Amino acid sequence: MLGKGLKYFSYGKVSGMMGKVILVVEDNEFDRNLLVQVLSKKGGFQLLEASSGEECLEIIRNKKIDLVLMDIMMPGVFGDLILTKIREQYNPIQLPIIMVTSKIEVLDVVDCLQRGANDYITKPVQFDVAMSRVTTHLMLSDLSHEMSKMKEMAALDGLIATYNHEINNPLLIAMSCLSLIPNKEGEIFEKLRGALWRIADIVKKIKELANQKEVEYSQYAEDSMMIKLKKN
Amino acid sequence: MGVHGRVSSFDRDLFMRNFHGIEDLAYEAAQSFLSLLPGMILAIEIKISSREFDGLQIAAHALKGAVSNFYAEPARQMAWKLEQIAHQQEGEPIEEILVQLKSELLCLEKDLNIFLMERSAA
Repeated sequence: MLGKGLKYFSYGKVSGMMGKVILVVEDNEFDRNLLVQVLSKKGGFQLLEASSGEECLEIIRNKKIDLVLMDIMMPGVFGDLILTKIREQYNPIQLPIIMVTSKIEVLDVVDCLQRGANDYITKPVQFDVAMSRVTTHLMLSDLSHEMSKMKEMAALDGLIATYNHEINNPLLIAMSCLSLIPNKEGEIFEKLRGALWRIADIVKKIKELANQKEVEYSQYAEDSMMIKLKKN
Repeated sequence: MGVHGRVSSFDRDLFMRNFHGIEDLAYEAAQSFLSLLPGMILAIEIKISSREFDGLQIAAHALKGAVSNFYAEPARQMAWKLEQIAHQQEGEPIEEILVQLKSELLCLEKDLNIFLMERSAA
């Protein structure tokens, strides 16, 4: 079943959406195939299929999915329970989920929205509406990620400015004092001079981070990361 | 209007409007549905004869979803009725509803075949 689920349909029609992976979860073969065909023809998406909630969870565990379209009423585990399981791992920004429901199940829509669904569309699916909602939620997700990055960089900028100001002054004082030491020979003096210049170099590299659009991290200790500075 | 002055079993305008810009898919959908329909009906018949109400509810729900794509309201209503009876495990005699459903599906089948033939002729 997993092999059957991994079908890719990709057409480059929607600007900025090429390569986005949408998972369609629907037990009814006819409805599922129709939605996949329509989304692939109208949009620029890669489409994956799942015919059950369990298959959906398996695919999400193994593949990077950008959005899920999921029928509320499926045999076995209902869509709302699958939704809850997905939300234990991914929030609505990380993985938008649009529920697909028959009109008679509208009352279930409230329950799904409370469980973390981003939106819903009703059956029979109006394809232009489905396309608009899918595109909108993908764009919202992208925008949220960009804003998170911007916030991260803004916080980093503030930290760098503070750090530069607070470290530079005492560093300059220390280096001035070093230059005034009469006896500039000896191991201790060399170690002190080396350490101060190393601090100056790191301060310079930290300042350069302000010009970067994003930062890379590496593991520092068990629970913490450190920012990677450029090597000389 | 369908053949012999009968009102069409599905709303062709609404159906085609939904496939605006991708009309080829509309005809593929009709063909696909017609090929799957016998299996859907058989699944329902089997569940009814074995009084498997949970399975019947699922099968009727699937059929209801499929026909609703064609805005085939009479067939959709019958499938919904069957789904409700299966859910409640009581109600109107199931066999009567099945007869009415099959009658509506026969009309839908005829009209979809006409729809496809008209396209081939065009």
